[in-house]
This record gives sequence, C-alpha cells and structure tokens, in this order.
Amino acid sequence: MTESRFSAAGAAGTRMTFGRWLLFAVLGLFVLVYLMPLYVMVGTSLKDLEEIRSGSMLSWPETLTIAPWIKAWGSACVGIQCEGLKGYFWISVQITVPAVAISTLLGAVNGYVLTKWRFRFDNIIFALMLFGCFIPFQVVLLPMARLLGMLGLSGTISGLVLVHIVYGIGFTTLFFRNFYIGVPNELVKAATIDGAGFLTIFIRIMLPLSIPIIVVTVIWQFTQIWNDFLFGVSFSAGGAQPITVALNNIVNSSTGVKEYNLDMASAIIAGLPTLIVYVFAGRYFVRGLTSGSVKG
Amino acid sequence: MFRWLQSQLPKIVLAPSFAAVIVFVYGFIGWTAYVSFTRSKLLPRYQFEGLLQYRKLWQMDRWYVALDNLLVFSVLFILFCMVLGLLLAVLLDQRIRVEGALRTIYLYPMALSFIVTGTAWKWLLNPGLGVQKVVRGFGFENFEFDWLVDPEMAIYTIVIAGVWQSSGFVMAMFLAGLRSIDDEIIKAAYIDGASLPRIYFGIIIPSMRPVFLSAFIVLAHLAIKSFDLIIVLTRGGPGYATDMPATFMYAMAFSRGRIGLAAASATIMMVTVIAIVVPYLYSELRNKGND
Amino acid sequence: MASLTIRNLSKQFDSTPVLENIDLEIEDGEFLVLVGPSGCGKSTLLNIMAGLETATEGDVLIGGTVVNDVHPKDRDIAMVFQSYALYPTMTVRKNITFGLRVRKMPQQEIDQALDNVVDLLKIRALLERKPSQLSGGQRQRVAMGRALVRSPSIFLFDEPLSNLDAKLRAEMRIEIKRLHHRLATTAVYVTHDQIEAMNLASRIAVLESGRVQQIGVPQYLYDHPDNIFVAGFIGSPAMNLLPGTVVKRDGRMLFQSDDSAAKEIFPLEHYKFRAHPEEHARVVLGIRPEYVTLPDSGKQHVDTNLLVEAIESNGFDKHVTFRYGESEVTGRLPSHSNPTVGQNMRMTLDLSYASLFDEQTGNRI
Repeated sequence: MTESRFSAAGAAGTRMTFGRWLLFAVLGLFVLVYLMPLYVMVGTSLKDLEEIRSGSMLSWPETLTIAPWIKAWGSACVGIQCEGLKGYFWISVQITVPAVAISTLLGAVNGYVLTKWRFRFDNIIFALMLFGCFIPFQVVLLPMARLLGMLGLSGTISGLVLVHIVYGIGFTTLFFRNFYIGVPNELVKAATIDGAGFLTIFIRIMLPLSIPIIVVTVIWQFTQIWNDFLFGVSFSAGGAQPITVALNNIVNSSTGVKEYNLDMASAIIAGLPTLIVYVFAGRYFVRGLTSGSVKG
Repeated sequence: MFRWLQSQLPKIVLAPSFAAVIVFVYGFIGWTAYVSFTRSKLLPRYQFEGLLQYRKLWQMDRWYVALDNLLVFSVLFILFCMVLGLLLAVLLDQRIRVEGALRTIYLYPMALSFIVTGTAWKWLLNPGLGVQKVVRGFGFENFEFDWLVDPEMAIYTIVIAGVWQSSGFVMAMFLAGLRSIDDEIIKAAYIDGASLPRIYFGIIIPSMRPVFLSAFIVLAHLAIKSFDLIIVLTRGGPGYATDMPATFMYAMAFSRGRIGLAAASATIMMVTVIAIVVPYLYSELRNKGND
Repeated sequence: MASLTIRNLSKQFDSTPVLENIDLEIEDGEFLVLVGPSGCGKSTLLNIMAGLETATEGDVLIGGTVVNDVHPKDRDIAMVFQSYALYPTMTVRKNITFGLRVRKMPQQEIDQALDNVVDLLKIRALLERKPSQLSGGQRQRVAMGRALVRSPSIFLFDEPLSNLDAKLRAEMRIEIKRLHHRLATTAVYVTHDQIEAMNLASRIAVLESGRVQQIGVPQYLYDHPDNIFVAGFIGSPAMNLLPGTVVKRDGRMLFQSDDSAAKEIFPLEHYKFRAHPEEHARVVLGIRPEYVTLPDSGKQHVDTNLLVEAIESNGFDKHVTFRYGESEVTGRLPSHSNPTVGQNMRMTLDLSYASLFDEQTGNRI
C-alpha cells in the first residue's frame, strides 16, 4: 500500500532526525500499552497463587506452572459443574461452525441476487436487511427468548445457531453485495448467452471469484459469533452455554478463593481461537472491518 | 408456469432471508415495542396500557444512573478512541518499515471477546494486586487505585478497557481513510511548499470527514450496545453504579421478571440508535445505490 | 446463418424513451454496424437483439421467427463484449468451452470445436493461461474464440475494440474483417467510432437519440448524408457546415454564404436536389475537408480567401483550420505544402460532393 502512493512523509525523508526518534518512541510506547495486558495475562496464568499475592503482576513468573491451565481446561467449576472449559469449548465450536457456514452462504447468494438480478424495490429490501445490523439486540431478546421456548430450542445449540444466522445475514449480505457490485455485469451477460442459468452462474462463475470476500466474511462471522456473549447468556440458561458465558461464570464466581491464575488461563483459552485466526489472517480481518465503513 | 418460476428464482432465493429479517428484526421490534405498552411482568400480557412502563422507568433512580453512565461512557469512549485512533493512524502513515507488525499489535484486541478483555482488565485494575501494587512497588507508597470497586470511578474502568479494545479498529479505519486521499492533491500541496503538519491539518484531515462520521457511528453504536464488558468487569456494580441501559434491560428482563419495563428500556435504546444511524444509512445508500 | 429483423421496436426505461420505432432488416451474412454517440441507444438495441433486455414494443425476428420471448441461449447467438467478460477463474480453454459444457455437448465434439477455433485465432499457446495472464489483445481473441466456438447464426459485438490502444485496434479490425469474410456469418457490431464503422461495415446504421438516422453502405452515407447529424458524425475530420441562404438568379439556384465578406455565391446547378427550396430559405452547405484544397480548376468550385488559424500534420497530409467569416473551415493540404498561421490563403471549395441541408429540420434538401 505504501509503495506506489506518494507520501508527503516519505518525500520529507526518513532520516533519523529528532522527529523520527520521537515517532518511534511514541509508537513503541503504544506497543507496550497494547501488549501489556496480554503479557500480564500469560504471566499470571503461569504463576501459583502465592507468587501472585506476594509479587507484582508485571513480573515474569518464577514458579512457572501449567497447573492453572490444566485446571481451566479440565476441572474448573462453572456453576455447579466442575468439568473445566473443554465441554464449553466444544459447544462454542458446534455453535460457531454451522452458523458461520450458513450465514456466509446466505450472504453470498443474497448479495448475488441483489447485484446481478435487479428487480423492483430491491434497494429497499437491501436497506431493510441492512438495518438489521444496526439494531441494539436488547430489543429482540425478549421475543426471541419466547420464540425459542415455543419451538423447544431454548438452551440448545440449534437455538443459538438459528439466532446467529438470523442476525448475521445483514452483515454477510452487506459484504457480498459490496463485493459483487465490483464484478462486471457483462460477466453475467456472457454466461447467460453461453447458456448458464441463475444457479449455474452462481456456482460456476461467481463463487470461484469470491474467495477474497468469503475469507473476510468467514473471519468476521467467526469472530463475532465465537466472541458473542449477549445471545449466549440470554438464551442458554441451564442448557448449552458457549465458552464466553462459561468464562464469565468462572471469573465472577462468588464462591471460594479467587484463583487469578485460573481466571487468566481460562480467558486465554476462550480467546485463543479468534486470536490465532487474527494472527494468521489478520489483514483479511482488517479488510473486512473497513470494507463497508471507510469511504463515508 | 415453469418459465415463470425460473424467472422468479432470484426473488425466491432471497425470500427466506428477507422473511427472516422481517420476522426476527421488525416483527420482534414491534413485539417489544408493544409489550412496552403493557403491564407485563414475568409473562407478557397483551392488554394495551399506555405509557405506564415508561413513566415507571423515568421514576427509577437506577435508570437515571444507567443513562448518566451511558452519556459519560459514550463521550469518553468515542473521544478517546477517535483521538487515539487518529494519532496512531497519522503516526503509522509515516512510512515505517514495520508498519504491518505495528498494525497487527494495535488491532489484535478487536479479535478478542469483550469477556476476555474484561477479564484481563479486571485483573489489571484489581484494587489490591493490580496496578495499585505495581505503582506502590515503584516507591509510591500511598498510591491508591481502587476504581474498580469505587461507585464513583468504576465507570472509568470500563472506559479504559473499552478504549483499549476498540481504538485499534478506529486506527485501521483512519489509516485506510488517510491513504485513500487522492495522491495528487498531496503532491500539489507539497510542491506548493506546505509543511508536513500543514498538509495533515489543512488538507488530509479535513477531507476525512466522511471517515470520521463512519467511525463516530460505529463507536456510538458500540457504546450503546455495551453489555459484555460491563457484566464481566463490574457486573453493573458496585450495586448498580456502573449500570447502563443494556445491563439494566437484561436485569429487568431476566432477573427481575419485569419484562414490560425491560421492553420499555429496550425500545428507548432502539429509538436512540435509529435516530443516529438511519440518517447516516440513508445518505450512504443514496450515494452507493447509484451504480 | 440467419437474417435478423427489427420491426417497429421501441424501448422505454421508466417512461424515458431510449429507442423509438426502429426498423432494421439485416440480411443473412451481412455485417451491420450500429454507430452513434454515447447514449444513443445502440447498446440497448444490441441487448434486445441478444435477449438480455426486452423491448417495450415491437418485434425481433431471427431467421423469420419472432424471438421476443426466446431466452438468449436459445437464439443461437454469440456476443463479444467491450470488457471481454472472460471468466476470471477459468483457463482460456475452460472459458472458450464453457458454453458448450453447459449445453452438455459430448467431450469429443467440444474438443473438435475448440480445435477449429484455436488455430483460426492463433491462441493455441494460451490455452492453459488465466485471463489475468493475458494482454488486452489476447483477451479479445479469447473472447472471440468463445463466441466462435459455438458456430452461432448471428454474432453480436458490443464495442469490442474500445479498450485497446490505437495500434492494436487497427490490427484487430483487420482480423475481424478477415474472419467475417471467411465465415460469412451475420454480424451486428456496435461502436461509437465511425472509422471502425466505415472500415468494417457492409452497411452502417447511424443512431441518434434512439432513432435510426440513416442506414446504407458506408460510401453512400459518406457522400450523401441524410441529415446534418449524419454529415457531421461520419468522416474525420468532420464535414464543414456553412450557414447561408438560397437565392435564385436568372433561374439558377445559388447558395449565398453568411460568412463570406464578399457574400460569395456558390453555384448549385449540379447539385441533386431532393426537394425544391424556396427563395431565401435558410440552409446549411456541407463540404468535406478534402474538397477544400489549394487552387484548382474543377467543374464546380468557388475560390475564396481563408485565414489560417491552426495546422495539424499527420505525415500523410495537413489538416488546416481556417477562419471563414463566423465559421471555421477545415481543409486538407498536401503534406509538403507550407501554410503558416495568420496567412491568408487562396483556396478552392470544390462543390462536387457538397450537401445541402435545411437549417430548421437538418434534413437533406
């Protein structure tokens, strides 16, 4: 991005002047600010409770134990059960994978329809769907809870999958629609003349060239759904709870001794999947975040 | 007949998603709004009762606390995120070789759940063993940092955690916005002899107004929805000192069994968001819709 | 092979008329070029022929059968687009054979068809590449390959050369002409470039504001434009248009130019009138630049002084812009002549292929 573009800064030179040193100093300071919590989390999770109480949170662990991690995974107490996070991790997986897959697929085909098969009022329909992204979810919690109850999906994984799909469609459709607008309509015309129909064009032509936006959408949806707490805590009472809810339970449990190392280990376990996705596919993530919102 | 079906296929394919949105978004909003006009407590009652829930709402101290917190939080959160985001974006725009790595570091908090972030900061700001202990360790014996349990100051801890989490995103938006400005305008200014700060303040930043607006909308939206962070950091406490409309609504709906009241608070949240977002969306779609 | 007929066709987009009462008879094997400025409706007409859009009124007939409701894929047509519209994720081979594979043609036949086309267009070496790895000219060939491979009855071209640079455009033009000569398939070609039109067409149809202004063989349109629009559109540099009045002296019809200080009279005896104008009728005289020459005595001419304002050399000749009263007149001078800006030159205006238009209606008189 910086290569071909003229930068006034670049023209001004990148010699190590005082201004340049100051720049690096400030940037470095912020690196510390952003990394510090992560460092403290990791450090604390590897200490035993004695060291935590007596030492400073910034110090590197002397005891260096992985016991908190083992406990977090296998035997930490979430509510009344003490089986650790592994079950909840698996529940989150079972919720996230189908919800991401289905909402992405729906977004793709919706975006395709809205850009390549225009019809009357399609702009209004899109606007109505887009609006769904912006509502505060508090306004749907009550009726959704009732509906899930009526359908027998309360506290089930399927119930949460349904919720995440429904409220993910707005975003995924937005992503794909904005992407497909950039795909020339002549491609569809050529395929039509070649004899391809609606679905054939989608499967054999649009999907193969959608890889960039599919990646962005999947990463976005995965992050949103895995990290969700509101829907998780509202609709899973007594039933299948995602890992974010379990984490909150561990951290805010009012019984017993506060095991800070356990809390930290649990938090890292809960946050690791999205963090790993981010580290390896971060630039697609950034593209996803700024795709709809940048050019005002 | 078959031909007709074929030609309607696009609409048929779109229909389930559209129907889902109609029911689960607009239908539900309608239901919630309606319930806010009833006497519903633990179970919904569908007799229209007028504005009684709203009147109750505005008589509750806890609601005022929630609104006040929302205001304080929103202003500080948006302000600090924008300033920090802009600062970092401008700094990163200065042709730095390790820009990619830095961007990754500033942005990674966005990848975390608010629960994870909240957990981390809950520990960092722990009254006995967190920041307070560290600073005391540096020699400042009397340093106190118990904001987390102080009813007056707890809200600011949420600001800190929120800004840490979201400023990277704002930075990414601004950086992209900075870079999307037409090269040639900058070249012209440079040839005209404008200094670097002048170029930034006089040309680049003013032409980023749309991006500022987008960032504002996103941040405002995040602020109003704040729920996860509060629940894990303070649980709305001490007492309900850090309550916000989102946590208020949840408490009323699921702990207190006063769903009419919860619906009223949710409706008010909804209306606030609409008032901010709809004008923005309308102008956006008008510009992009002309393809 | 098939004929294509457009009968009384009109098209409106939300009550804005885009095409009005179009009638075209395209013979089997013809190469018809639809030419006109941007927005004249030519691409819309092409899309309607292809079946990608429907007409508001009127009929499209292919081979004598009304095809208004027939899906593009059943019309036995092929289309080449301005942006090539190659499927970006497929190889050249897959791009070309896509239509055949969709129709579930047997593999052997597909291979055979591909073979024929590939050597014709000299793209065999490109078969395994993806569009992003091809140059503009190569992409256009592949796009044509995709159209050719199905041996359709009608080819539709939508400004296929507009994205190429001048040199490539000239090469591809010859290529297309050669292909048409070889295959003799009916073709409809849309372009805004009148040079392409003149070069490729067996007949040209000039469109403007949704109407056919004139249709005929290129040379005829060039020599006998039906109205001012066609006169100004066909031919480069554009025809000179001089306003004036018709006068009658001693029974002869004459043109009195507004521009000439001396109020020069242009004799019109040898002009083939279509209608008889009144005395003092306001008209416009059209003279092509190649008929504005250095002094020459031909049969029908007027000599006059023109002031040189600008000179453009293209190596072959010089296009000189003159001032003539209120008007500008362009002339063509031999390349080795030496006009200078500001010079007053004596020039001959040869009236052999002049055109006369009614000032009000723009139509040829």
